[in-house]
This record gives sequence, structure tokens and C-alpha cells, in this order.
Amino acid sequence: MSKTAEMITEELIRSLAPNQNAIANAQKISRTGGFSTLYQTENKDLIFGECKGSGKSGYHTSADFSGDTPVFRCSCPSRQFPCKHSLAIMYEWVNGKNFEVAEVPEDVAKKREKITKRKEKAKEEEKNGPKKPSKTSLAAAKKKLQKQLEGLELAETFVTDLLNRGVSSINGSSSASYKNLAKQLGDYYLPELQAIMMEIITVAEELSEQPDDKELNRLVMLCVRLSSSVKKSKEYILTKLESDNVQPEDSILYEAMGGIWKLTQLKEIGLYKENARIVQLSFTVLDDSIHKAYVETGYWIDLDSGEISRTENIRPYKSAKHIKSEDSAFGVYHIPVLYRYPGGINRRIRWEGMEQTDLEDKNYEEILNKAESSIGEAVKKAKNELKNTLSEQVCAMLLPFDNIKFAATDGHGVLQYQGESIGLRANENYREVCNILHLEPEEVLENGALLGELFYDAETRKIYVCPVSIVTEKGIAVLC
Amino acid sequence: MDVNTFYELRTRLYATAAAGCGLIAEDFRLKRALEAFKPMSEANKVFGRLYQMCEKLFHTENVAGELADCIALADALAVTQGSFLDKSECVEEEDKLCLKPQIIANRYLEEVKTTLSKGEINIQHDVQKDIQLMLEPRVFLCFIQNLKQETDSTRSLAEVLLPHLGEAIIPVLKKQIDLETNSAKNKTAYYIRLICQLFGYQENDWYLSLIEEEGYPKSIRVAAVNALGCSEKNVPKLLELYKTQKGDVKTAVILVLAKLDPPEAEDIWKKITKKYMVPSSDSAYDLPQSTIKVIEQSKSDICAEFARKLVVDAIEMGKRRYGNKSKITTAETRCFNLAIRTICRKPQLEDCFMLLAENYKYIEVLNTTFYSRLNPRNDLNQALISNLLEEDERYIEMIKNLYKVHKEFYFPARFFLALKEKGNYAFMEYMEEIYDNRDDVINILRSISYDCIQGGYYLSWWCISDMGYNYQSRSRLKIFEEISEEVFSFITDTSYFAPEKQDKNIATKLTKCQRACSKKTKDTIRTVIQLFDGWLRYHITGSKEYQKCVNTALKFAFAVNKYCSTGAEIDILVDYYANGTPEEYRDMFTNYSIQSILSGDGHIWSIHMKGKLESMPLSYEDRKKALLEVKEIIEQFENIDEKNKKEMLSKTDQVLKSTYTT
Repeated sequence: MSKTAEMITEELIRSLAPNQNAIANAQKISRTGGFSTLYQTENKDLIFGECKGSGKSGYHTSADFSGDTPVFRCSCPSRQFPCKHSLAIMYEWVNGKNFEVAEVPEDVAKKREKITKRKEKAKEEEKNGPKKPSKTSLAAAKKKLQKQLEGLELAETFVTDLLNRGVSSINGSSSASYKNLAKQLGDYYLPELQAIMMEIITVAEELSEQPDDKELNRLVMLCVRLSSSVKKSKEYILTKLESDNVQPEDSILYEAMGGIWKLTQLKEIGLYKENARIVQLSFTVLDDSIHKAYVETGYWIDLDSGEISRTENIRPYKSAKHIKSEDSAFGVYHIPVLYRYPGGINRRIRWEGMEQTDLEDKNYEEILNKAESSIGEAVKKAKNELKNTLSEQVCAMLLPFDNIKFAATDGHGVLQYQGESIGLRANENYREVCNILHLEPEEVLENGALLGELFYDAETRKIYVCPVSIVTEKGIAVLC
Repeated sequence: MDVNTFYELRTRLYATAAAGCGLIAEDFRLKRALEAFKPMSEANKVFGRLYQMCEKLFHTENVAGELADCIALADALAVTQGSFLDKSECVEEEDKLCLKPQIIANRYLEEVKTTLSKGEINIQHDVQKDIQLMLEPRVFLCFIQNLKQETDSTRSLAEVLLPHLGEAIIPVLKKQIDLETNSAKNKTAYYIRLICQLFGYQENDWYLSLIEEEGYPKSIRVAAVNALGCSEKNVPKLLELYKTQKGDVKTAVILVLAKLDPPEAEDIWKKITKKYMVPSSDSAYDLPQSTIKVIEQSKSDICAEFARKLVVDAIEMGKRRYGNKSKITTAETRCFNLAIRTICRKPQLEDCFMLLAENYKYIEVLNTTFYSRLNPRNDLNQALISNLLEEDERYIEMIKNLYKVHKEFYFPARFFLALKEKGNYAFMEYMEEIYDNRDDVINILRSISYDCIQGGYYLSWWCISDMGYNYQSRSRLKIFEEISEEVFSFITDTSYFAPEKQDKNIATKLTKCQRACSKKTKDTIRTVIQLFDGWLRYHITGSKEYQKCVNTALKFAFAVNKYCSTGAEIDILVDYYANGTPEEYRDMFTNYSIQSILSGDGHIWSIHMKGKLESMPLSYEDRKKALLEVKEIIEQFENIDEKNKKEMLSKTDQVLKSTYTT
């Protein structure tokens, strides 16, 4: 059954808005009577109207609920999607403004028709199986790999030179030539390696101004990471070229070398799950200054397998305004096809369509039951992940606990479960979480499960957990 | 098996990478570490592999690549070796804050945090919901961290919220104090003041521990000394600190002693005032700020005598100066300022207040703009009001006696006292006087705020001698449960600027408005608008009178806009008038423009015009219409000179142009 405009709520508008400004602007348009005409179709699956704008003629705005997901159309020149006018027409609906009944406008009808045709085509393609890559695309993929191989040589020169001279030797003039080299890497389709190089240069420049042992070690670690990436990427490319199989495969190297996965590709290599039920355990926006982007990260738990996955919405600074920002998600997401990226414990996930239901007490119980069996077991799994030079430096896991207490010496949190205990410390991504943990009420700190990022601290030679959220029988207390 | 040999080897590998592996053959430290690691490598296969790889470093040509591999393997082994058990002794936390985690979307949370980081907390109309939001751990921490900015709104909310949280708040506040940064930017001393205000003597040992640690930042130690002022029991300790401390800490000790005024400190006051007692030259009244503060604070006879002498000197100087147009000397202005500043907190000086009121015309001539005392009468009244911080009957009697003799001069202090004692009834008792002293009363009403947790309206005021910045000396007093009709009708009275009957003749109407809108009237109107703005934005939100206040504010703002527009009223109209038509907003803008031009504020108008227009919810077309309307009106004006007219028209054209492009 198709949806109607009746489903519009303030919450829905907020979740659809690309950013806070768009919401404020839409509210302003609605408050000041921006719409000169407002219409709805008889079955309420489309609302549309004309809105005053800064141009001489008004904009034709519509919100179409006839498909699986709402479609917003507007004749304004904004690159934001949905634009403030589309949001405003929904505010008009929520505010109970009078919408006259009218026929579907001609242009909307045509666009609806196109969507239907596209869907039919997609269905047919699915029946016939995946399309075989053309000769041209295979040649292009091969050419790209060759080019990447050349780039890897450049990166290798960079890291070899740096280690030969010593990472602390970077100064004004050498930093400029290294930067040039890093810039050159942009021509070789290796953005990830380029980012590591830029990070190395930035850290080295900071170090030359303010020496710091910890940062120096970080610099060495970055060089090692770069060296390993170069080495493994070379092997990967050479194997691919030799075997003549240039299509992406289930390996984190594809992404590490700047590859961008298409959902169809993930499906082709079997990286998907049907009818998944997932719940978000935390959501935060991280400022990744190295990649010059905001990374909206959500940790999710699969209610059936207990797997902890993550969603990532990357919004580069330059185009952040035009990319829809994501927000926290509440409830159980029922996802027909959940796509999973290659990776270790916390795979990246994506999906296209979903249904949402409210979280119930039984869901919290389900989550608690999916926590790791012991701290020791969790640490063992995490170590396997963390020791890989190419994987993330943190590994998110759901740890059960009898209680969380605070150390008498410095007040750091200690998670205790069945005789085992592990220290809780903040990390770079979540600086305030431990202070917030102190403020949580007693009932949150007893008999629950903690979603935390396990990480290794070289200084103390210990594994710690950076708390992110706590699940209890009654709910989820997010700490970030 | 000594695991340390492995970590030593790893450290050496890192050091080699940092220093460069070009000379690795001569790196004897690495060689030694590798030798020490050998026994361990024999016990385990992976360690053995690391040993072999490291050994190869001394013979290979690709040292850099091999070194990176060695470090990668050493890192992986270090992670594998990493322990996790935390055997720290844990404490049971006795008191827990009554905070409650809530489901908040990240976007909204960030919005709230941004508001808090700017110190702009705005409790909305659903008070319970807003308070609940503040009690969410993430929001609460952000609120506490931003308290140090000491904005009015954060301070007000802290006053309301923190006392209800009990002792569990103490460690949270203490944790915010930065004991490392020794600079003026370290604002965290504020938390000491806050703890002192909330818990006073209970935390005395902690204040002392902060003072005793000489390595702590000066601002922290000074704040801790100030906190000792919470109890007279600290006098012996303060006298001891007077002998042992130096610099800013000693200055703070003297000031706190002055506040507590123990008889044992008489010698200190004698010593401090001695060299300034006999004025003989221009530098005679040139007292250091620290000494002035001490004289302000101390109630001792020595300091009172010093202040009395300053008052007498100032009046004498004023009399000599009266009618004399030559330039006022530095000694005269200094003496005048000192007299006004040091007269507070001295119950012995009623005669001086009498003298100052009697000789006000002489005193006023010494008020130079250089020292920027805008209104000495206001300062004298503020001194009397700040005395009311102390529950000392002598100050109350003083105000009453002064008012008996100098009704108009000391009306602000008397009315404040009446509000403190009788609440709403004060408005009935002084019905006539309040209209004659409108600005004074409005200014007092601006310090009223609603306590959304306990209910009721509170009057808060500061001790003038602390320049209004000392949290300790701020006081709150419940004055009424609700705002009475008398208060509302007093604030929204428009008789002083709006003509009783509307004149249909535009020319007469405009002339009348022009006459009514004197600078003084406009100043009063601005003060009323500021009062409404503060009340609606921060002070009375959550009260049941809120909506009534919105309505009266709008009524007042519309009247102002019509008869004596200052521009300020437009903000109220835009923020609180819902669903106005474009025509109404255009009228508001036009009225503002006409009034600005008529009252000679044309220049200011041209600067603000665009901003005001943009703050209105008008479409492009409506904005254009409004500007064209204004242009038409300017062209019709006959009583402004052509040059001015041309300038205004060109400014309007400029705005019109920029409106096209936005």
C-alpha cells in the first residue's frame, strides 16, 4: 500500500532536512505565509504548491509519497536536498493549513512515469543476473590499476626517504617538497595514501615547533602504516593484473586505495544480508581534519547476529552544505537488503529502504543477550583486529558488566564482569565520555552492556575501553 | 622470560625510525637491545621471527622498508602482549546527582550545546521539559563547563538549578578547575566562587588547601582567599596569611579582612590610609585600586573617617569650581570619584549622604566625562541599595531618613527598599512617584527574574563596590508571587509619548510625534524595550504571566512603532508577533524609518535600515515595496534640507540595490 502525506510529522521533517539551517528557513517560510497556493491530490499521496522566492516568479514545490521513499521536487536553484521549500510545504501540512484538492500536475505525472520505468528495468536486470563488465570498462580498470601502481612507487619513495633521513628530520624546505609529492599522488587515484602522507607532514610540522615523544611515536606509526599499505597494495594490484581479474573483491584494500563501493558490486560478491533487524547504539559527528571532512558515524547492532557495524556519512568541508547530514536513529530498523563492506569486526553497512518500529523492552533484552560472553574473550577478538596495521586503531564491542565503578586514585571508570575488570578511558574521538559516565545514575551503571571502542595504549601497554553508550533493560544511555 | 627486553627493542626501533636508519650499522643501542632480546626470541616463534627480521636490518640494502616491517611486527606483538585487567581500588560514590539520560537526537544535542557554549541558555515556556533537558548528563556537563563564561543567563540558571542538586555537585564543580594554567585566561576560578556561594564554610579546608599550594595559578589562590570571606571564623587564618603571603594573594587577604572587618585589623587600615590622609598635592587622591577597594569594603571608623573627609573635600572643591569654567583638575576629579566610591558599607555616614544631596549641584560639576560617571545620583542610590545586601537595620533606617529629607533624590533606594519589604504593594504605596521617576523604577524592574523551579519572582542585586562582578555578593530575594496589574500598566504606560487623540492631519501628527520623541523619551522607551527583551528572553520565561507579558510587550512595541519608533521595538515585533501580514511588517518598517528621519536619526537609520528590513519575515517583493514606500515619503518631506534628503535617498537606493542581489 502506498504512503500518504498523513505520515508527515515534525520529526519526519527534521530527519529529512539536510541541516539545521534548512529547518529554520523552512519554518520561516511557513510562518510568514510563503506559499501562495497549496494543493493535495485526492488520495493525499502528493502535496504541492507555489512558493514565493527571491526570484520574480514563484517556485513549484511538491512532496510525493506515492513510492517507497518520499520524493521532493522544487523548481528553485538550491543544491540542498530536500530544499527549504520542500520542507516548508511539509510544515504547512503539519500546521494544518488548507490544501485544496487538485489533479496531479503534468510535470509530476511525467516524472512519476519515469520512476516506474526505471524500477521495471532494474527488476528485469535483477532477473537476468548481474551485467557483465564491458571490454572498455575492463580496460579502463586495468589502466587505473597500472596508474595506481605508479603512484605506489611514489609513495614508497616518500616513506623510504623519510625513514632513511629520520622522521624527525622534516623541516621547512623538506616539508614543502614532501607536500608537493603528496599532491602529486592525487593524480594516481590513491586518496587514502595521500591522506596518510598529508597527516605525516602535518604531524611532523607540528613536532618541529613543539617536540613531543608521544607525537613522534605517532609519526613513526603513520610511516609504518603507509609502508605496509604500499606493500600490500602493490601485492594486491600485481596479483590482480597477473590473474586478469580487475574487478573489486572482498578486501579492505580496495577502499584503502580509494575505491568506492557500489551497492550492486557488494551484492555481486555476496556482501549483503537479507531481512536484517538493526538498532543504533550511538551516533556522533567526528571532525576529520586530515580528510577535511565531517564523518557522521553510527554504531549499530544486528539483533540477530549481534554483530556491531557502523554507518559512515562523509561530508567533505567543501561540499558539506550540500550533502544531507544524518542524525541519530531511534527504533528498530527492518532492512530488506543490508549491504556490508569488506572488513573485520566493525564492518561498514549501508541500505536503501527500511521500515522502522519502536524499540520495546524485549529488544533491549535481545541486545543485552548479544553482548560478548566475557571481557577476556572480547579483548582477544579485539587484539586480532587491532594488530593489523591496516585496520582501524579502535574496535567497537558490546561488553557485558555487573557494574561500572570508579577508581579511588584518579577516578577513572572500571568495568567489572564476573571477576574480570577493564579500565575505561576516553580516546581522541570521544573526549568527554568518561566525564559524562561519572554523571550517569546508579541504575545505568549496573547490570548492563557497554558499547565501547577497545584500543591499545602503547604508553601503559594496556588495552582500554572508551565508553560510547550503555544498554540497560530499560533503554540506551548514549554518552557522546 | 623478561618481557621488558621486547619493549626495549621496540623502543629502539622507534628511535631508529625517528633519527633515520641511514647509520643503522653504527646503532649500538639497537644492537644491544637486540642482543638482550635474543633469549626471549628463542622461547617463542613469533618473537624469533622478529629477532631474525631485526638482525637482517644490519645487512640489508632496503633498511627503510625492513625497518617499517620490524616496527609493524613489534607493534602487532605489543598489542598481543597488552594486558587489560584493571585492579584499581574502586570507591563507592555516596552521593549521586539526580540526572537522567534521555533520548536526544544528535542534531538537537549539538544545537543545545552550541547555545550553551555561547552562554545563551534560554529556558523556554515548557519549564519542566527544559529543566529535564538540563539534567541530561551530556547537556548538564556542557552547562557546567560553560558556567565559567559567567553570562547573565548561565548565572541565572545556575542560581536556580544548582542549589537543588545537593553536595553531589561539589566534585563535578571541582573537576572543572584548571590548576595548571597560570594566566588571566584561566576563568575556572569562577567554580571556587560558585562552590563558596553554594556551600560556604563547609568547604573551608579545601579553600585553605588551594591557598597553601604555592604552585597553583594565582587566580585560583586569590579566589580561594576570597572564599575565606564566607565566615568570621577565618579571621585568625587571614591575619596569619597577611603576614606570610605576598603580591596578589596578600592583596586579596587584605580585601577579605576589610569585608569581615575584625577589630584586630585596625592597625592594617591605619597603615594603609596613613599616607593618604593629608592631601597636599595633585597626587594626593591618587590611591592604588587595591587601597580604594579596602576603603570601600571596610566599615571601620578609620575608613569611614577617610571617606567622610573625601566627601567634604569634594563638596568644597565643587563649591570653588561652581561657575568657574576653567578646566577641572585631576585632583578634583579623583577626589570626586573616590568620595562616591568609598561611601558605601558605612552606616556612620548618613550625614555625608545628606550633605551630598544638599550640595548636589556642586558635586555634579566635578563629574567629567573623562571619568565617565554618567549619573552620580544613580551611584549614590546604588551604594545605598548595595548596603541592603547585609541584613543591617542601620542601613534601612539610613535610607528611610534620607528619603524623608530628600524625597526625589533618594527615591530609587527607598523604592527598592519598599519592593524588598512589601513586594507588589510598593507600587500602590508609591503610585505617583513611580511615574515621576520612571527610568529609576524601570531599571530596578530589569533585575527581576522568575524562579522556574520554586516559582515566584526574585529581585537580585549586586554590591556596587565589587563592580557587579563578584558572584558572592549577589543577592536574591523573593518579592512577589505574580506580577500585578499595577506593574504591567506602569511598564506599558504610553502617555509620555503617544498623543491622546489621533490627529488625522499628517503634518500635525508628525510634528506632535517629533515633539514627543525627545532624546530622553527615546532613552526611556529603549530601557522599557530592554526590560521586555530581558524578561521575555531570560528572566520570566516559564512563569504563568509569560503570555500576558508577550501581549503587553507587543502592545507597547506597536505604540512605540507608531508614535516614537526607536528601531529597538521592531525586534520585539518580529520575534513575538506571530503571523503578521506583509502589509503590517511593511508599516512597521515605514514607521521606524519616518520616526528616525524626523528625530534627526537619519544617519543611524541608514545604517540600520537594511538589518531591520532583513530581520522581518518579508519576501523579496515586499522588501522592495517597503523601501519604495520609504523613498516616496522622504521625497515628500519639506522640512529637511536638500543635502540630507539626497543622502537619504541615495542610501535607500543602495539598500534597494542590495535587496535585488540577495
